[in-house]
Amino acid sequence: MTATLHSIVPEIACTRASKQYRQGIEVLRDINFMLYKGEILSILGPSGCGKSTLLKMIAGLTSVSSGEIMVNGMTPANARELVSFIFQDATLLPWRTVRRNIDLGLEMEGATSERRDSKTEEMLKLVGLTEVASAYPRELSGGMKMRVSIARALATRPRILLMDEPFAALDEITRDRMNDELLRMQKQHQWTIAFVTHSVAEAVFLSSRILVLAPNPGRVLKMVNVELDRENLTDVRSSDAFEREISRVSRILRGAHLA
Amino acid sequence: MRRHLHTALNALGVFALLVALWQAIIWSFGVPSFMLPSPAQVAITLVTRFAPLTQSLLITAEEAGGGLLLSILIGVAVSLVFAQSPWLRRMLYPYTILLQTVPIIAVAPLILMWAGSGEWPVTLIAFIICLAPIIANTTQGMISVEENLQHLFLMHKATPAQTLFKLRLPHAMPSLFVGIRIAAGISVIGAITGELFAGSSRVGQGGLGYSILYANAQLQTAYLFALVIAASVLGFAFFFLAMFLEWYFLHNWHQSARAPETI
Repeated sequence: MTATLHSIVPEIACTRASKQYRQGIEVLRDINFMLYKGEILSILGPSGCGKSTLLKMIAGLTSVSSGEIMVNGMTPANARELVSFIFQDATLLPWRTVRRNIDLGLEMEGATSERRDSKTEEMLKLVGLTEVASAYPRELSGGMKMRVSIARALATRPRILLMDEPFAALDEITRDRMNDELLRMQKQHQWTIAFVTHSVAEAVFLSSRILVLAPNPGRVLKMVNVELDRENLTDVRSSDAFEREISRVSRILRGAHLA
Repeated sequence: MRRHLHTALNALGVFALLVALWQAIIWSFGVPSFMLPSPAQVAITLVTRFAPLTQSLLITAEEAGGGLLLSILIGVAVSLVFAQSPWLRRMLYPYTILLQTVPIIAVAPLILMWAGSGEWPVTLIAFIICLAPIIANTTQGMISVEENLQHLFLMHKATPAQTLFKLRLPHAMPSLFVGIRIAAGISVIGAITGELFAGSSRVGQGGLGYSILYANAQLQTAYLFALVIAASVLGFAFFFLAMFLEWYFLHNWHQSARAPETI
């Protein structure tokens, strides 16, 4: 990270953020990290370590018990128009067609029908679903549903994407393809992404940094910088550096399971 | 198509068996026709008294349909309020259950006493009997929206009205149709119950309930049977109309309306 980037306001600033439920259960303790524009941060850790809760706290969907989370210098609830959340399941509205699912956010904003139509067409092309624009979600495969979900998230032109295991339910080949597409689009649009995953390979492939959490309660075990050349995406997965980084992160993650 | 044909043939077979059994009982035990008319007598009555029968049926259909329609309108409106205000829901929902448990036959004379005679009080009775299943099912559908979908609307900064009409209401449509299907059947029961107490709602002519009382008093048993058949046909018609509407509105996206043959 360069000094220039550090001098600007971080897109996400997490300062000693903790989460405790009313029953006294401590989910997250003292989470600290900064995420800057154009970065992809993966959040990795054993089940139940609070990865999804952390993402929901950043989105303002659940409150912070102590500490602070700022999104572009604002509270999460005030920064919602900068943020899109992509859930583990596609969360499509089954009664709306693909096209009408994609334009949901624009409709909520009160965008004109011309703008909605043109933006939806643009998004359909971006995710390669123009031909199924009039189909209902039940007619789509898991991968297609997830692409609709991504298109809907991108239609409102967010700066920050919060992705909660979005490709977890997909087979490996589809997941790799979705990761490639995501990385290509991210390079083009310079989104800032916080990406929750269980897959070390996915985290290494996508992100410049990986936040490894330990459980009970969820806390930062290590922030790992990923050293990987992603200039030519097709070669990344077969490179020695990729394998090395996976081994390194896996070792750290095993430590998280023991912590 | 073949499957539907098979189902229809099975149903017809059962019907033929029942009619044969009915005729066999009359022959075997020598039952007098004023106690149990033969299937042929009932069929003849259905044809010869088709006009008054149809007129009674239409009156009951109008009252039951009016009550059903009113219960859908009011029931959905109440459910929207319940979905929006958990406080009001907790306070008033038990009264919806109470509405369902009160025997309509006991309440009907009171309603007629307060609302007077004619078709309107009968419609009111049908409305009361239909209201509880509509409210219970629609409210359940509205409040059982998955958390992620609620979060999605929150992330899009949806207003409460947008969440209500673009998320909760469409989400509740399958449940609403379950309520409508239940209410469609009982609306006819409600209307007939009302008519039993209301008497003739039009000069010289009442609905099926009134005609049932009249036929019973005159010992016109074959006509009584014809009226019962007409009431059943009306109940079936309402039920299938509700099923058709459910299919029409939901078949594109909801499993329940896509596979009617499995019901």
